[in-house]
Amino acid sequence: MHAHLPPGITLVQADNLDTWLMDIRVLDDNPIYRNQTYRLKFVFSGSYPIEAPEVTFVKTESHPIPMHPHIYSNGIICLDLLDRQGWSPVHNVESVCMSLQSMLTGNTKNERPEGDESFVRNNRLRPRDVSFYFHDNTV
Amino acid sequence: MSAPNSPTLGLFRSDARPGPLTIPPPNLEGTATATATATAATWSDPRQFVVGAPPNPPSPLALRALTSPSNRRATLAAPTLPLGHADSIRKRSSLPADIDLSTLDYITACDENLICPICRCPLDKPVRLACDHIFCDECLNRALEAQRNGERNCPSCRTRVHGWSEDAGKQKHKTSIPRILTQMLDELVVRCPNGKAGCKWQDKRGEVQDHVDRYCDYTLLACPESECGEVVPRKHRGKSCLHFHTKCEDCEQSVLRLDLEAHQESECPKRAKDCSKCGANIPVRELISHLSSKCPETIVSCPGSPYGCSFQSPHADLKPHTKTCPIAAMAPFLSAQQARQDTQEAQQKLLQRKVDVLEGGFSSIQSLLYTSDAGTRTPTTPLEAMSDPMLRSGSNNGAASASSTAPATENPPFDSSTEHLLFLHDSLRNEISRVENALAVLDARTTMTLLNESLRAKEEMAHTNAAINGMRMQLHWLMSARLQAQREQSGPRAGPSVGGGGAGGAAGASAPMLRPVRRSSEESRQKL
Ligand SMILES: [Zn+2]
Ligand SMILES: [Zn+2]
Ligand SMILES: [Zn+2]
Ligand SMILES: [Zn+2]
Ligand SMILES: [Zn+2]
Ligand SMILES: [Zn+2]
Ligand SMILES: [Zn+2]
Repeated sequence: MHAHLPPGITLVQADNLDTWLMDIRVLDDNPIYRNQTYRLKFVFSGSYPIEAPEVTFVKTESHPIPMHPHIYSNGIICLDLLDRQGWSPVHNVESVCMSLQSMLTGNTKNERPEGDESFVRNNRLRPRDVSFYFHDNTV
Repeated sequence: MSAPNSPTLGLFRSDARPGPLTIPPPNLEGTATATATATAATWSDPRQFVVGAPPNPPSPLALRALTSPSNRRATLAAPTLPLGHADSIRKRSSLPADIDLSTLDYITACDENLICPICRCPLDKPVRLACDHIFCDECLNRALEAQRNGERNCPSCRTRVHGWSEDAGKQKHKTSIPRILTQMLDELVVRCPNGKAGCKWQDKRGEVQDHVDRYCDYTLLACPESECGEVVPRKHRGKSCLHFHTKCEDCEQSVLRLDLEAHQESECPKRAKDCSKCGANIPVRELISHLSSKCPETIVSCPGSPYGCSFQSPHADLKPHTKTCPIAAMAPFLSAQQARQDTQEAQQKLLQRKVDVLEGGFSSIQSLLYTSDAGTRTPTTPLEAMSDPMLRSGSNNGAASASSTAPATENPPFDSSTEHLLFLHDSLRNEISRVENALAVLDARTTMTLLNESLRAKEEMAHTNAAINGMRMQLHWLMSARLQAQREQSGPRAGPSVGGGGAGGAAGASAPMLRPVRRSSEESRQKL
């Protein structure tokens, strides 16, 4: 059943309808992400797919949080696709994984978002409730 | 990486890859994905909906099956219906609600174009928007309802949807659906939703509602007794209520009257029935296993049948045959042999693959060798190279040493296999020494290149080192000049300020928290 997944994306765990774990790899030779695998956690609400799932990177011993100007070091991702406005019910786990893959592939900056440290220290909100500020659309 | 199919770009490409789970890329019209192929397997797995197992990854989208209003309607519909006119069966059997088509078990492979991009099920009451995107009516309503900012956009392409209203009666956003689409949807073959109860019906989706409403033996209907409030499958629905407990005459167990026949047919521990074949009186509980294996009248074949014995007889007559049948006597041995053969075949396949790999490697080595010493030898095919030295040593005793230039066909055939092997051995030895030479040459060449390369690198490093040293000296000079100037300036005052860095750091930490920055996929989509 995993044969349908595109390269670089693997399903790790889908025991129930609440939480899924996926692993993604960047396929081209981007030196920032070379030889690394990242783990994504999808949390689905009861009204998925009408509502967006909550998607974060998870840190484990073998899975770091990828460096990216839109990924905080606690795994929270700023991607408009994943918030209330940007989500569309035609998206699914696979398309989200592919969007993140392409977001990493296209990145050349080996850095965290501005204010990462204080955000990670102070944020107690769930990712969907963080009001992100869309001023930088260049990356 | 293989650029044409790179999935990292794939999301925004118009030629979406096959597979039932890819979504149509947003912002591109008419890009319904190519094929459906495996979808049938996905949808035809009944467990998917029964136990709420996660649907086929990566689309846990069949959730609609569990949460959709129509499904809730179906399960919550109270089976208390007013007792209609005795002759109006249709009215009284109006218990089954509209079937939620997304929960059905599809047998035919469903083309990807017939799948709703929201619920990932074959479209149910399809609705087409002005932008040409098609969704299930219910899915689209739920998706548009959830859009907060007052503007309604197509879930696939975000084109404005005009004329939508929460009130289904006032909706004006639908455009006509091509008839071929509804026909294709209606012709998908599905199983009866009562399949778990035992119905074997499977036919076109367009007829499933009719089947369930009018014909299915397993459709639950309201009990003919209006006060009862229970349901009864159509095939057991008679004139009176069957929802009372009664005692089984044989085992004295209390059984629902409705279930009595089933109980007596297969469950009652006290009841026995005559076997239809041998006539023996068998308890009904054991009847099925009796018929399949123990009944002396069941026709069975000789244990040697896989190896050629065509004898078939009732169970009872088999024993005498087995005693005399030579094939049956051999059967255990033969099956053991068969098993051994199978494992060996598997092993052989493995070895064959290994040999293939090795051969491939060998031939690539050979071709490498022949191209590397093409300068010294006239190019030969590997076969010639093999046979050439062999023939040369074959015409030994010095007499025919001139024949080394003669064509191969002129040499006499080998007298004995030993000789032949010897020649082969010789030729192989030659071959090996050639390989050795070639390797030595290659080795020397690579060593030389490596040496040259590292020498160059070393030189460059020395240059860089010198340059760095020069810069260091320059920097030192500049620094000392500056320090001198500072000292002269601040002369009487106490020492240079060292606290600057620390103060700056503290100020940085107390600065207001910067608002995080969000990435817009819209932007990148345009870029890609
Ligand atoms: Zn749908
Ligand atoms: Zn559209
Ligand atoms: Zn049926
Ligand atoms: Zn009743
Ligand atoms: Zn009984
Ligand atoms: Zn029998
Ligand atoms: Zn036999």
